[in-house]
Amino acid sequence: MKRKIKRVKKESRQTTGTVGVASLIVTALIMTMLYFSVDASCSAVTKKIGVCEKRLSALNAELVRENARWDEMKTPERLAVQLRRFGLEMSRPREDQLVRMDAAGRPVPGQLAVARMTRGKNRTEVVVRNGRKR
Amino acid sequence: MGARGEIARYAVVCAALAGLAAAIAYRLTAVHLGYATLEVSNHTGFSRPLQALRGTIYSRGASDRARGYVYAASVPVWEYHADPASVTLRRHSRETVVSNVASALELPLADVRKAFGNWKSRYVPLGTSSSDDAYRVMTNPRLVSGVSIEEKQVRRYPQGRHLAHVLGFVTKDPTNALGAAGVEMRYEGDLKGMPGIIRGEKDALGREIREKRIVRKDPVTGCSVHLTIDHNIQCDVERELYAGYTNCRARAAWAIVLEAKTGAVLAMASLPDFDPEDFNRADPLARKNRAVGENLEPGSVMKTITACAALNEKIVGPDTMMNTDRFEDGYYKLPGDAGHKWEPFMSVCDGLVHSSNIVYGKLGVKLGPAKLWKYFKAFGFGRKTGIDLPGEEIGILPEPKKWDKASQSRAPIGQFVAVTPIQMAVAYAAIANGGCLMKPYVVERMEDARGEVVYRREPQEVGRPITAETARKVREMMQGVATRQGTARRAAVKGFTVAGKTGTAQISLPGWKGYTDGEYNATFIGIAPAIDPEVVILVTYHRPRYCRSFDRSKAEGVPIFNHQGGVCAAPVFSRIAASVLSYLEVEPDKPEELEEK
Repeated sequence: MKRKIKRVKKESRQTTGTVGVASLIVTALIMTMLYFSVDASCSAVTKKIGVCEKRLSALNAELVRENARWDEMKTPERLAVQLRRFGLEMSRPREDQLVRMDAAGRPVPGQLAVARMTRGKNRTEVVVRNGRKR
Repeated sequence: MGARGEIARYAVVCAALAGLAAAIAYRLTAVHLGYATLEVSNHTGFSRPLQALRGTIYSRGASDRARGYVYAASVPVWEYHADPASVTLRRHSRETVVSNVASALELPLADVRKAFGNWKSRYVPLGTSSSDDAYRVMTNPRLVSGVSIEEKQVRRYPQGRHLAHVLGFVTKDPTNALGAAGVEMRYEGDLKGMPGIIRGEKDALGREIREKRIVRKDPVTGCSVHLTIDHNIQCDVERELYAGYTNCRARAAWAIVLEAKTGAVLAMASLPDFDPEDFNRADPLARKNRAVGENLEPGSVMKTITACAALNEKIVGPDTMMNTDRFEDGYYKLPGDAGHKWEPFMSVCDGLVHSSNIVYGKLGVKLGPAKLWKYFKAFGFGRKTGIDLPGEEIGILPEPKKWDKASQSRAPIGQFVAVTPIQMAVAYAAIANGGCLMKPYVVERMEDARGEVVYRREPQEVGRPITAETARKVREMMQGVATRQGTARRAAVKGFTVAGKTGTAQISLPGWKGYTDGEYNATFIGIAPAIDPEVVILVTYHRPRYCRSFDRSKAEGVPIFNHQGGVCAAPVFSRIAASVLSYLEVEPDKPEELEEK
């Protein structure tokens, strides 16, 4: 009886050992596979980051170049050349064309343009509404 | 010998061997491992510096936060080199490569053909280009072969020659470009930025193994510098200065526009000028910023400073009459008033209006060298103004003990002392600013790469040489200069009061004893408007030959053989002032003149 119990105990210990080893191997396999898959995805992400990094720096450089090109195009001299090409001429406003406003948006009194405007109004009494004289 | 002795011997030998092994292990790990690791890292280590973009220089913007025109900017470009020996003829003919390269880089076909014609050469520079389209063509192996490409940074100056002397230039070294003049040099530390770096490991082909990257430090773009220079004013000043320069056939010319109340430089121009992108080819003298680096005798413009000293000391008043006999006191002889109005007695004010050497020479003697020197010093002569530009000269202002009798009468009329144009402009700005001397500056603020302001310049007062009352009186006296009676009627600006002074300074050229015959510096410095000043404008022509008439009433092109400040420089001042005042929308203080039309 004692011998039988011993054999059963021994057999069950052997079975447990085999299962343990098998599960260890399976775990190792799973871990290895996981490692390889994570490694592969890491490599893919790394490559993607590399591509994005290159693209970002290329785009940054392109932006700088484009800004520089734009800056070169809009220099006053080039603008003047283009305006002349289309028969346009720009000049600064004369004093009588300037109306300076105060903080409240009212024309500052005593200005040439304002004086002329007022004088003209008094002299002719012309009221222009909707583009028509009345 | 028993078994015990034998065991003992073995034990000793084993212990000795173990000790030896331990020593070798220690030597290998503690001593050699460091070297070995270093050796390995030298072979596998990867390090790539990332070049920082140099900061941009802008003109003054329309508002406090706005950006103006770009004066200087760094641009990443590609430098292309032909490598004729490596053209793959299996794919395309040499002529196809030549035509593709020529059209992509917009180069003459003959030049590219010549570059690719030399079979033995492996490196023929083709040129640089910032075009992305050109890069795409040049890197397409189906279209082009036998070309090597290098990435680099170049400094571009979109406004060309405008403001070249203030901006300066950077050296052509592609890896370490340094500011070598002007703002580029003065603000080198702020403009250059911080280079970045990538560190890690490399593969057998020398490429970076990204997974083994240890560090990536991004480069930091340099600060952007915002100038006080207004590009529109600068263009106007340069245009008018150049017109006068060709008109009077001067050897050189310079102009400064200062904001009277702050000392901010609104425009600064020197002629001859140069292209900052091609500075190597320019004459070294053309690269000199004469507005800050030229020491010269100021001539009659100094009389205003003498007037300030005399009025501030209350020795005379504007209406005090002076005897204009040049031999009156016997022991000194004054330069005559040839060409100017002369009367036996003249007031101090008339003396300034007619630029009388005798009146002001005598005023200088009345003041005495010590007081005169004190005022000259207080106005900033004989020391740097502190403008944030390199190459500033200090002028020449000898100590009063070195002044002899002749010097006492010469210094008040602008001889015997030397000043720089910026010193004189700043001194006049003090008169315009109620006697308050301001430090001139060209950089208003600096912003970092994120656009945050890291430096803002506030106007800085450096002294009060005269009282506000004296300044007002002198400005009133100076108003006569730009009238029909004065020496510079051509300096008048329609609608505005102008206070100014002409100067026609004799100069001494090398090889001459004393002053050179017929050689002058013709200057006009003006304050506009005279009553509530906004700007101070200095215009000087160096060695003008003659001046054609600017007077519209006279026939076009009739030459006036005159080298005087009132003829050469005053009309240029007038046109600059009219344009600047209109641009700044300054309200006319003589609107009746505009009504006359």
